[in-house]
Amino acid sequence: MTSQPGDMLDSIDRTVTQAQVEAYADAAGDHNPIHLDAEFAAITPFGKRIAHGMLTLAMVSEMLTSAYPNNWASGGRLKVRFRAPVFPGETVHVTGEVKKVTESDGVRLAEITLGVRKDDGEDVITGQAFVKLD
Amino acid sequence: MPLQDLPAGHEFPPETLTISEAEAAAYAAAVGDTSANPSERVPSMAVIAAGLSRFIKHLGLADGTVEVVHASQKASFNRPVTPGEILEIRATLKSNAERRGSRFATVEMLFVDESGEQVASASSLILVNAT
Repeated sequence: MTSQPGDMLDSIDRTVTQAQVEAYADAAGDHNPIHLDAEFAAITPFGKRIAHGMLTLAMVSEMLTSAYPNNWASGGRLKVRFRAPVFPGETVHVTGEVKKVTESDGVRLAEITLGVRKDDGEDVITGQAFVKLD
Repeated sequence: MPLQDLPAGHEFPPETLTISEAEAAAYAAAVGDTSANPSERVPSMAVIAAGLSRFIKHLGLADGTVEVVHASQKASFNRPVTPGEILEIRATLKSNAERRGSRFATVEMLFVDESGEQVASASSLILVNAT
């Protein structure tokens, strides 16, 4: 288990496609046209279709589940900000680093710095997760 | 009722949410999660995503008349959800304000099982602009 400050979780690199966005819309029930309708998206400030923020966040949760198979789903929590949209065709790099470990009442809790970045270094998601280690 | 007419503190009618094994598998495939085991566990974030989609739709924010941007998200998980499990979503509009022509709304959702135990919670800040 990744449990020391400075430890890096196994990262995820993934290219988001429009087909994936459409599959996600069906799976999650979110058919907002900003994700699906090119004409609609063209008149928004983004200028084109964007991936769902929750699709990208799912990759963060996947990383945390892999690192902490039981404790992420049982007692894990996160708070994140969506900094920039992901456009279909872009690759994102999902990372997590244990920032510190605290102990209270015999329970150790890891604070993990979360990041999702594009190839050019632009932040997509920033935030923290907290996972019990015991 | 349109979002702009709802006061902060508004409680939405409880909703039932069930994610089947097939739906959990479709979600895992869509996000590219090949390590998920949807026959035993619903991917954690799938529960939050399904709940949020419901309320975006209920608030009339998914019909193409407005631009909706997800600004921030909190989530916590008390235990895994199994496919087919019946949950109730208890949602509250925690904040709803207009600033510089944009509307900022926070929806808090509690996911509760049939025994009344909370299995997950979430808080979503969304930004709504007229198109």
